[in-house]
Amino acid sequence: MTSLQLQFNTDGKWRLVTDKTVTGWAAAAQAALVSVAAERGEYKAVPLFGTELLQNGTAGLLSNLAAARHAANFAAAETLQMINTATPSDQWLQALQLEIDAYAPPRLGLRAFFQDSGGNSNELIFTV
Amino acid sequence: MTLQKYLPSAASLTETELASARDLVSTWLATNNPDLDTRPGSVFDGFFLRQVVQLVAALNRGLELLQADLDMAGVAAGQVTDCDLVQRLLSGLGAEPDADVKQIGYVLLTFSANVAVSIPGGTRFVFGSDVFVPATGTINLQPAGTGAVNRLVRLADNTYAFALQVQGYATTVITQGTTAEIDSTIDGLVGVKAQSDFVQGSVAVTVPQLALLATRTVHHSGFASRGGVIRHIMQQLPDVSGVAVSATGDTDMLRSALTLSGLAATPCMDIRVASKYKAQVSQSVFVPFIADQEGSAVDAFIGVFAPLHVPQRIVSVQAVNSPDVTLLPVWYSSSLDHARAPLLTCAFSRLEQLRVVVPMPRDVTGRGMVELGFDDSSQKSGAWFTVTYEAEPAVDAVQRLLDRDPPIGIDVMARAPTPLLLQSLKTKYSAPAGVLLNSEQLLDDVDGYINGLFGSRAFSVEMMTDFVFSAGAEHVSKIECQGQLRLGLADFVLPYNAPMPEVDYAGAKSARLIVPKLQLTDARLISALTYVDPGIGTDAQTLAAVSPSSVRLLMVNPPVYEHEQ
Repeated sequence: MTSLQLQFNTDGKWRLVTDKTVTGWAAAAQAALVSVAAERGEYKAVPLFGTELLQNGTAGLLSNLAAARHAANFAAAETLQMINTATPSDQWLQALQLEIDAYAPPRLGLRAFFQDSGGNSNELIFTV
Repeated sequence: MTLQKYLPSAASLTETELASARDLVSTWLATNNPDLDTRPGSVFDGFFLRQVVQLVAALNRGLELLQADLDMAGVAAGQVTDCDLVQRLLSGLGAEPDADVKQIGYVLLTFSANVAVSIPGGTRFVFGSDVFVPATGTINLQPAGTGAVNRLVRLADNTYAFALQVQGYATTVITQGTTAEIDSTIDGLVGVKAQSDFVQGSVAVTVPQLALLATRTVHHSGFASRGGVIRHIMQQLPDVSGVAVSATGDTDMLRSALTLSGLAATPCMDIRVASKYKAQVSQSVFVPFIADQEGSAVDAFIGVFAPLHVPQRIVSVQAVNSPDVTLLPVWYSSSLDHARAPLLTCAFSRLEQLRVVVPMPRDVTGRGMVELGFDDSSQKSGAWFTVTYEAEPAVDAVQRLLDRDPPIGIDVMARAPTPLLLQSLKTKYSAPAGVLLNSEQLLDDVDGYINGLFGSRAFSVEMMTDFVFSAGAEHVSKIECQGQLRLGLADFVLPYNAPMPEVDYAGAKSARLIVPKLQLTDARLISALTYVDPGIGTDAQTLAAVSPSSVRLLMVNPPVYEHEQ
């Protein structure tokens, strides 16, 4: 699968790069990141799209680092399952981990690790 | 139809509908663009697919609503999105809604001359502020004496009349005798007035009700099925209180039994109709006096009686100049079309021609008691008689409907129901001491019940008993009934080729056949009245037949309630 590229920044902003594309597991990873940063329930056609990180953060539920870590792990597991459901099996993500890079409520810096089925891995730091 | 009527709001779309639409669109896109990333979270999804999914889900819902509008069973259950579309669809099936409550009735047009008259369909008959127009469009009337259905009827010397069915939307109920004004000039027209109380017509029919009608039977042609005929007529003529249909194959349909095989060339159908009101008409007719025919004494007034409406029962015949003289009129029936409706199969229809024979009453000195006069129109001597009869105006209305839109491949004839004249209905009852029977309520109940019945099959003795109980009786011991089922209005019917009495009275008397009149003494038999001429195939056949569904009860005398100790 081929998609236009999105560029995620550590300041929480993103940019559409119209002259570059991503394919294969990289495209899957990109879609996964969008889902991690999206709010659960905003996309009625795909009820499992998005995570509860944003809601929990604004509701004050990520009151300490342990809670943030727990929420990030949970979001990673849900996102991995949702993305693989919509992805051809040869392009499945083998693993998705979200680690806390910066805990500065209400912002949360995340370090995302991706690994494809061939063992290739990549990581990206972004902010929600 | 506009798409706007069918598209739902985006907020009303459910997760299931949106997910289904997303699956549909992404699968469809993948057919030609397998490499396109349509995953949730992809750029294509975020910028384009989400909106398309909403639109497709909305279109899906709209399509379902459109399909539901085309499904008459669903519409009948009350699910309608675009009423305009469904109304047009139903209109194609023959189910037309009425825009409003309308009244329908008959105006008596009287003319001073016996000439052909045309009444334009848009002629406005104004009763105060209420406007009525002819119910069946333009009507061309032929002079009296012609065989046309739409013809003038001679009421008196130099007075001719026609009862025109009109409809309109009135703020008040138009009552009998109310004079109307018209907005155009019609040659020879000297009077316009309501012949009877107008009847409140059908109420506005909703689209679901129309759909229910359409699902019960498709009556686009109007005469394709028995049920279709009934609904078609009830819809076209809302003042009709009942319709019964006899068709080829029914025991009481003898118009089909004209060939050796018992099969007529075309299927036949008789439509019996009754109005919601009784019309009693008094009509004057000039009847020539015939002293003798080729040397044989006749000494009677003999002539054709052309009624304004199809008669159900002759109430009285009186000489205009000698109203106190008792007359003994004899009525003869003959068919105007022996091929279509021979003998009594034409009874109570416009194909029946009635003749009255009134023997000259003479006193002890032998002097004629009815004064003779001379009629300029027929150039004959005779006398004017007033014939009073109970009529059924709906027959003409249905016949005009048939003439306007004639059914193809089937011979359809409009007839009035066969009357069962209830001359006496006596109920014996007992009541607790001190309790008086509420006879006023009882008579109202019984009158409403009998008049509302169409088809004697629906008559119930138990219902009659219940009325007596509810009026205060404690016990009903007996209901005695004296009735007469008349298979024809006349006393005699003349077969094909029989001489007419005004030409050869002796020959007519020898050829005439007695019209059956069945006496009834048991009220419980009313609901099972059936008669088929036992002489079919013989020279004595009258082709009289009736079934319980085509009998109408007519109360000649009010019912009597007798208290028993």
